[in-house]
Amino acid sequence: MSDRVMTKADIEAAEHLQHAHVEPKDFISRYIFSIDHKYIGKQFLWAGLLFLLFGGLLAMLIRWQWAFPAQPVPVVGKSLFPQSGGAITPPAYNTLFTMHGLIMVFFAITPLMIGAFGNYTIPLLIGARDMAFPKLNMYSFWTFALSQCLVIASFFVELGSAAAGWTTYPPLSTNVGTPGNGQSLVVLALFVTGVASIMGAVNYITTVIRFRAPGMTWFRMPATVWGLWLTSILNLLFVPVLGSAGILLLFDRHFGTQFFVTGAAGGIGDPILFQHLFWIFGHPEVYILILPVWGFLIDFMSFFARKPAYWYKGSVYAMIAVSVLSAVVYGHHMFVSGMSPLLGQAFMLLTLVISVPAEILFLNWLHTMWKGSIRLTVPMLFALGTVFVFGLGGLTGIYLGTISTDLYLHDTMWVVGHFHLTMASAAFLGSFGALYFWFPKMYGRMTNETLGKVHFWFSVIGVTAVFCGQLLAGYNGQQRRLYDPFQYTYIQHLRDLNKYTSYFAFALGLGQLSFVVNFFYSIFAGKKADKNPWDVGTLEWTECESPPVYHNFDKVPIVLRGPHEYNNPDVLAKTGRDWVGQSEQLPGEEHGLDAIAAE
Amino acid sequence: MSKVVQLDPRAIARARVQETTGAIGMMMALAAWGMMFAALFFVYLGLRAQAKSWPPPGLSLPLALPLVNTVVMVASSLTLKRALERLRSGERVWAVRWMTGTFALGIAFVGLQCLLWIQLWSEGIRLNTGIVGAVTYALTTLHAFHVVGGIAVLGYLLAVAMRGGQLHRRTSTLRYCGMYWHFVDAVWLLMFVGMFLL
Repeated sequence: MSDRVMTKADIEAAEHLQHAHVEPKDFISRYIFSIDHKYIGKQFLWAGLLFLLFGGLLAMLIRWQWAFPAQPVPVVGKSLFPQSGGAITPPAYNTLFTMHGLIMVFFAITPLMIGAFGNYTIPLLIGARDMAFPKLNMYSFWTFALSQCLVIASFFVELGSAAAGWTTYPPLSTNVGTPGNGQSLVVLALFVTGVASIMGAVNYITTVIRFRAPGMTWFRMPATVWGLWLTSILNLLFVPVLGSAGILLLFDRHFGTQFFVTGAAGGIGDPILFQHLFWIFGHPEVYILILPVWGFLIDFMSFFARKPAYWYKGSVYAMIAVSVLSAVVYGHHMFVSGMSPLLGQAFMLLTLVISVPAEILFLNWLHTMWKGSIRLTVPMLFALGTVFVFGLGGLTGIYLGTISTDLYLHDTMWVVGHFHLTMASAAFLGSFGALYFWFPKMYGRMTNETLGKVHFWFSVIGVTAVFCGQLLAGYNGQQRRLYDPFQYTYIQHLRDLNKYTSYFAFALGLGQLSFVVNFFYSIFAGKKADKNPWDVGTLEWTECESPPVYHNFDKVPIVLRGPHEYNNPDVLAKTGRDWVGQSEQLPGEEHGLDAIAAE
Repeated sequence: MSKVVQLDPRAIARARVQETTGAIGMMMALAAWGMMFAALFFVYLGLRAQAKSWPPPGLSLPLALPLVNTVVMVASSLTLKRALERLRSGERVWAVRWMTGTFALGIAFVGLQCLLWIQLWSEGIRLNTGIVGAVTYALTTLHAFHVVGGIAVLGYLLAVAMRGGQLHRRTSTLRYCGMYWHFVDAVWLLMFVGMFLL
């Protein structure tokens, strides 16, 4: 099936089905309400980076609080917290850690990884001229922008923004725990951003099903597309569950219902139900944030080790297996919620089973690099860093998936360290690897290699030190979310550990300046990128200029092989290159197109 | 888009493929909507399973109005199906008649739902009086909003027809509208059986 010979009709049909959109000339439909996937991708990129900065600054404030509890924050303290003389107050602290989590997950990493790279890469990588529903794509971005506005607005209402933790558990998130309208605005923002995610997911899924270029079979797609496609399916199915939870929570907050209120508040609802809904969504969510990165890694390992991806199909099957399993393990977040022990054991077993496909992915990455001619470019460095931190994160997760150890580690800093290594650090480093990789295609210019490497070392050492520091603190019993952990005598000896962790966090934050400088410098004054600076064979590099024309491809490409053909001796003999384009016709190659060429 | 109907076979083939693409997209969107309603049902079932008795003593939900509304909803699905068939076979006048019928049935459904809410309210079942009221109001209003969405799309298509527009060029829109409508109908059937009948 995968080697099916293309007929002339197939190719004509593909060409005919996808009109080359005419590039709009007016300002608004070109730069604001654009329907071009490449431009929408860039809009998501900027929106995501802006909120990444926002979420990162909140993290700096949290780290200040843990290093120097209730002491005035230098420089910005006086203007941010005037009533307390510059010190972070307990309510402000609650808002800080709540909004850091929500902003990073929903308004920074999601738009960056899925919004920006999903939009930018999917059509280019599969040889399509645009998404299946370009207008829906535009609505998706502007819906997302609206949700970001709601988040910003929430900071300016009375009592400030949300403060019930990123998990938004009732009763903390009901009117009793967080009476201000900020909490409602943020829940609404989550619903709106969910709608945007679902619109994007519908688009990505349909595009990959329908708009692959002739010859682009499922297993000739770059792994990046697989990762983004599986992520979209999880988004499509599980974001609505969070939406429902949000709606019912808003009913509870504003219309007097009591779905999630019980006990002392006099209600007849059940707060645990919210936890179920949250984690039915929340566990797939962590895979939503890591599957695209896995896809990037499979591709980058092959691209920069100059070898075919080791057992590519196996990696794809592993990603599919993880996607399926991710839907049935959510209970491991609720081991201590009074769950039936039998059910808990089932969830534990299913959770630990996920390590098998994850291990397959790991071994395939390592095997791809084995004896390869590794090129330590900036994207490859970030990819290697991602493998490293994801490995640490995966191993520390086993202790949380196991009930007996989770009972001790639950709600400690160990959990915080673990999920920051997996879904935060890996997603962060992976996204930046992708950004350095596709930047030449996006902006037609190369980024600065030295600044990129500085950014890499600050980032990888920073995240490793910070989150391993948190793992240590958690293993020693430090609870998460404590305003002043050192009020407890048994945590007091961890004061230095927390201080040094914070110093690393500040260094990590400062190190990001190298990226900011690099990003702006390269956009305006970077070295001009040629068509294929990385010598890789996927369609966006071989068939498109940097940056691509508005309709991507003058002729819809005809794909002849998979994405990972490196150091193929046959190709080397024929072309003298160690790579070959996915749609490149080698001399004397049989592919059934000769009849068309003859005409 | 050209204004003259062309019978270029390639254009027809493209329209067919595009319609399938749109239908796949619609199915994906409905899967998402399905999960949303599934989550709402999950909460309903979770709360009902924990209740000592259901419905709580001295409280009963009306059956007559929801039953009538079920008939209305099923009928509207059938009329919309007819409308699409007639539009496909080129009988524009009948297509518009069936669409108008569906539109009217949709409005009737929402009107009867309002009556249902008034009846519940007058019986003292409010959003804050207990879990039965909370669940009933929340789920039926969220569902009714989706019916209103379907009515809006139908209204738009009818407006196109009134202005003498080329309705047959909107066949695919009517098809997606139908898929959505049948889905909303199915959700109502589940609500009727799960909340009012049982």
